[in-house]
Amino acid sequence: MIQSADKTIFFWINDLAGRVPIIDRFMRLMGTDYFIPVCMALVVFALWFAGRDPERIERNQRAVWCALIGAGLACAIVAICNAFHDRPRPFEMYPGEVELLFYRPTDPSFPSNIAATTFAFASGIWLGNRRVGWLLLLPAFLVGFARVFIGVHYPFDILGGTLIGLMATIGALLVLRITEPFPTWVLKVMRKLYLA
Amino acid sequence: MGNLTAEFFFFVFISCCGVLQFVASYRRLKGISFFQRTISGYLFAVLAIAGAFCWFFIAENRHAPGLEGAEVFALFIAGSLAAFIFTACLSSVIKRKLHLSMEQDNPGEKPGLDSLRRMTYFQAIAGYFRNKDRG
Repeated sequence: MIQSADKTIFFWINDLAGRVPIIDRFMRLMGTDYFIPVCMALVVFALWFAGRDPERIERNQRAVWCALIGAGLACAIVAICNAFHDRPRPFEMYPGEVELLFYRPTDPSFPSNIAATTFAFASGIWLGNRRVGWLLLLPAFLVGFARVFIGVHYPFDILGGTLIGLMATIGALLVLRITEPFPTWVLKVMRKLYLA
Repeated sequence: MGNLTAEFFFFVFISCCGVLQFVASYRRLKGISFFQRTISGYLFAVLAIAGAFCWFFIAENRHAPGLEGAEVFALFIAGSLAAFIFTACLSSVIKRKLHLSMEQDNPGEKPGLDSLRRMTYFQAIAGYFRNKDRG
């Protein structure tokens, strides 16, 4: 039932590919392994230095910690999932039916690593800075849609990645709470070295 | 692969240099800015970031198997650190005459990024260790 719905939604989206060359190029760029992750990382890098007052700056910097730890946890959870469950990619399951606009990744389809990482980034930042968090959720959704559009993921792979990203953020929050006062001490040292 | 690693590192490095100049202009952190005028900082930021993205994504086909997620993450951290070190060094050389020590200007001020509004990174670090020696 779930697999059938997944397949149906996948083909709804993937059928849109290969019709308008400029949209194909745009989606290929959005779905690449580097474009959106680097854009988001640059926003996070800028956020480290941003803020109107010391309180806001510290909140931003704690959000950056949360996003980084969350992204690391998300990658680890995806690696563990991949070790136990190898779901073939859509182009492997339905050769000749899928409009593939990308290279053929060899790792398992479920869960989507890029969705997990981008959602961990966005939700981690959202906890500390709502405005930038909402801004980052947009490209996180876009990269997920683009990965289905270009034919390398099923929608449920993206959904799974999204849930892992959100879980990883909760995990990161717990890590930061449990290890307190270590994060505060690191921030203090960084401030003394003029890095924060 | 080696080529892609170097290219990605350079792409991140240039982009982060641009971001740092944007931040320096936005927060008026003269100590890490390469320029006297804030508008020049913004202009440099736009050119560096746009230039790096155009070079990385247009010059070569990036739709091919390449770096793993962990490698991308590690290279980003390395590139951003390198960009910060480069910016701190270059701005300290360019702005070596900008010096108002913390004691002269704002005796109660705690160290932090805001101190770089009036002094370069090297001056700030030197001042911190000088104060520490004095106890």
